[in-house]
Amino acid sequence: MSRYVINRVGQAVIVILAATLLLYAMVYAMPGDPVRALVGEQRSSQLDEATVAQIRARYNLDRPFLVQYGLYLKGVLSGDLGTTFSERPVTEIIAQALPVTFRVAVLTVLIQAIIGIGVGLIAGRRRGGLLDGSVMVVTMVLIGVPTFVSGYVIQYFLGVRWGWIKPTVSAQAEWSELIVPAAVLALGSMAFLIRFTRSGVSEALRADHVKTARARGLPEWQILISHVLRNALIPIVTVLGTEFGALLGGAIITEAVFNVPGYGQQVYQNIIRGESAPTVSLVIVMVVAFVLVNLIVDLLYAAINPKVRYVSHA
Amino acid sequence: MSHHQTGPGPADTLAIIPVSPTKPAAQLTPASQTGPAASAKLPAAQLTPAGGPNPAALLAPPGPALARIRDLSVWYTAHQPAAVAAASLDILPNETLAVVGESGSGKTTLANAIIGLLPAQTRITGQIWLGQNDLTDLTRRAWRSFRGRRIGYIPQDPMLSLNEVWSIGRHFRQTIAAHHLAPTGWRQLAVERLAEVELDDPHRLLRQFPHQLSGGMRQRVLIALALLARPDLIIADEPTSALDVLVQKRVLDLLGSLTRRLNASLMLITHDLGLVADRADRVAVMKQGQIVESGSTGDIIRHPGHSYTRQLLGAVPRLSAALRPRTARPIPQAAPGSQPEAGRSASQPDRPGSQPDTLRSIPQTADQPALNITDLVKDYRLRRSAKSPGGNTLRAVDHASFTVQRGECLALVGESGSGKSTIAKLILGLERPTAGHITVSGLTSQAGRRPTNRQRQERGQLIQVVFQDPYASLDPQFTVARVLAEPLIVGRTARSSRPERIAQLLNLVGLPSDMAQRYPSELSGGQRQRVAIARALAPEPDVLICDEAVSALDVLVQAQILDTLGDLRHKLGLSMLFITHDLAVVAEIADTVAVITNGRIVETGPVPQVFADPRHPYTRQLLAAVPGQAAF
Repeated sequence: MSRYVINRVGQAVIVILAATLLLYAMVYAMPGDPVRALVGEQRSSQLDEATVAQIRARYNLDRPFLVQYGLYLKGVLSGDLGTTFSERPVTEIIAQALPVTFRVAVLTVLIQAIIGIGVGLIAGRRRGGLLDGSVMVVTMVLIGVPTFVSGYVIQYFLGVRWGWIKPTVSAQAEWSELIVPAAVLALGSMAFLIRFTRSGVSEALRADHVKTARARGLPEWQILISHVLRNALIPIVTVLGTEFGALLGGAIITEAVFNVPGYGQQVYQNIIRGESAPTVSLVIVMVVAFVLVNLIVDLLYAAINPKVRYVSHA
Repeated sequence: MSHHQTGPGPADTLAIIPVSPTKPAAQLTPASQTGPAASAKLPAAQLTPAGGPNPAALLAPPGPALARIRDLSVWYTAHQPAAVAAASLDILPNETLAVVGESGSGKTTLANAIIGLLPAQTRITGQIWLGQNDLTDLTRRAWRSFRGRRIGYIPQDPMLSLNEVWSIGRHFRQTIAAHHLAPTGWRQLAVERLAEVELDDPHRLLRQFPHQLSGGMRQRVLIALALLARPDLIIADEPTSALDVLVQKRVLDLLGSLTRRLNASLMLITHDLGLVADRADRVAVMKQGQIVESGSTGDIIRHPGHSYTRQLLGAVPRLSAALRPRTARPIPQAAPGSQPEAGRSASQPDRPGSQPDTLRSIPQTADQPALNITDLVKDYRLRRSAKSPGGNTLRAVDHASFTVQRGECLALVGESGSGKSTIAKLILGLERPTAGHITVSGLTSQAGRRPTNRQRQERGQLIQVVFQDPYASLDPQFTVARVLAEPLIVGRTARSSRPERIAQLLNLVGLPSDMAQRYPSELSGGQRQRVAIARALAPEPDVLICDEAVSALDVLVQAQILDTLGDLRHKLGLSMLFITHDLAVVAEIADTVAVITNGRIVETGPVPQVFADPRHPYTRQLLAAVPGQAAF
């Protein structure tokens, strides 16, 4: 087990390093002069050579690429993710937006897990039945509807027409305010999760070990939970984990619809404003979060699948 | 059996089965009121355990039966014929009753009906009496006091029948809790029962997971689980067909002694008549859902009443066949060179000239052996582990050497994991040997060298393979014609002569030419295996490797395929490497035998000599474990 953990952590570190290098190189290779971007198109023509050199030196732009990257990495490791043009530290932006996005992601995955696995289990148990058929139709519709449509529709009816919720989220972005945006986010991939669970359950139901468990006289609920769902869950955990990791990067469209002050909005605004250094930092945090979540999912996978756990040091 | 009670002896205590072999089958099919159109099953009152509506047919057995199956019919869907058709059968206390038949004969459906594991939409008529309870009438709740408690079930495939995500301990805990067997603590009971099935270190075993155990260990765990609640009736559905012969013997010995000790009855579902002869008190023979014959094992084997039973018995591969004189090798040493080709053209006089022998870059000489391996070694690198941080190697093949002479059939015999299939892979060039030489018709390949495409192609012309599972070895998307065309395209047979060649190949393996347009899913297992053989013969190889080629087939089909392979050897002068775990099959087909264990060949020699006088203890062990020796 410990060997497996060490291996996976080592891999994660390598992935994060490679991703930062790649991102930094991509921004470095972008056309346009960063000094111009910093001071603006018009004023840059008025700058004298000395000022330009001074700015370059300040941001290490006069050094070779790898040195720049090394200095950047050094900054990152000491907690300095750079500042925006308006001298606002990127760490501050992250500290503000990330918790909001984290709350949205947790709620989304919870909604998906409860409804997706629940409905998938019922549909998979009676495959070909009436309920299964209607679930299939509904999920097909859900897959077809893009989030900005479902988001606006739900916002209009729940928020504007019936007034059950506030149509937009406040700056504090409390848990309760985020339930509806999270539900909208959950809708799209929930259909996928239902189908995934359904096929996993109906496959597990046909397994020899389930037949043998029945023949031993185990109660039906135990067979369903402990032998069918438990085995079907193994791949589902991976799906949910990946989903959670992706959600930490923010959901630009849904956040825009409900005016959620989340991570996606920050990244979007920084890209629009041409803030290259903060963009790199924000995206790198996104990558790190994604890799970390996947690492946790892998370790969790080993915990629920003894075969992975033991093969790794057999 | 009622129709030939032979005085004292086991026949006296036999249950009387209303199906006698002299009755025409038509009488056995369900009457119209119990047919698929009928709405519900007969009220239980009509058939009591003590008798039935037609007592003439159901003579009361001398002793009380443990279970009585009366007129049982099972339909999976309304438009399919009944999977079990009007079957009646008694299971007596303390007996081993074997139910035999081909796959699809309904024997597993019968077992599933008794333990209540048929799919929900299945229609059942008739009764299954266990004591005073009709099992076909039980509610789902009531079933729980029968399944696992009065009836134990031992599954076919131990590798798939334990839940991989739970420890062995969890399996025991759940089952013990379900039947309230140990109110004070499950662990003590689980440890006792694991010791009962002769498993070492039960405490450790409880913490282990299924994938850490071997097939034989898993099957013993499953037996312990099935016997936890001490059921009166144990149903074992092909319990050892997935196990090696030595393991099979141990598991069946154990199962037999446990059922005797517990005064339980064992219903043994099997296709292996050797097993039946050794272990069953009585036999019921099933064909197309009907019980066509039943009686004491000795009677049935000595005086089979039904033609189907005779057919089954005739198809059993016999160890005693080893002592039959070996058929002379088809290619006399005196005629070198041309002989193999002559042998072929004799069998296919109208072979198109589009298969020129110039395709073959290797000159054929009869004094060269068809296949020779010398000091063959194959090591596999294992993952690094805590015990061996530098990584470990597994020697799958350990200095193996043997020679297959032209026209000879050499059987390579061993258990799973012995390295026999690895040798096949090495010969076929699917794996590269670590050391040693492989020579196929004079074409030698060295260890460590990656073969060029050309060498691969040459080898493909010389040597071909038939695999075990004809359901997996044919592409379901390909018609038979396309399956057979593939090697012809590789061998550069002209497009125009391919259809004729395909028809020839099909005829060669005993299939009609019009089968070419069918898809594998439209063929039976035996037909598929014939197609696989035809495909292997398409490039006119010198050597045919059969890797467990008849192991997955039913006994009747197995006998037919063995016949066909024997014919082909003589017609085509084929040399054959026959890889198998089944010594009776070896006795039937092979001239020489090589016994392999742990990658090492421990004994080689002519089949009659090795079988009559085995030298190596392992060979002796293997031979002793072959079931049915006394009867066949």
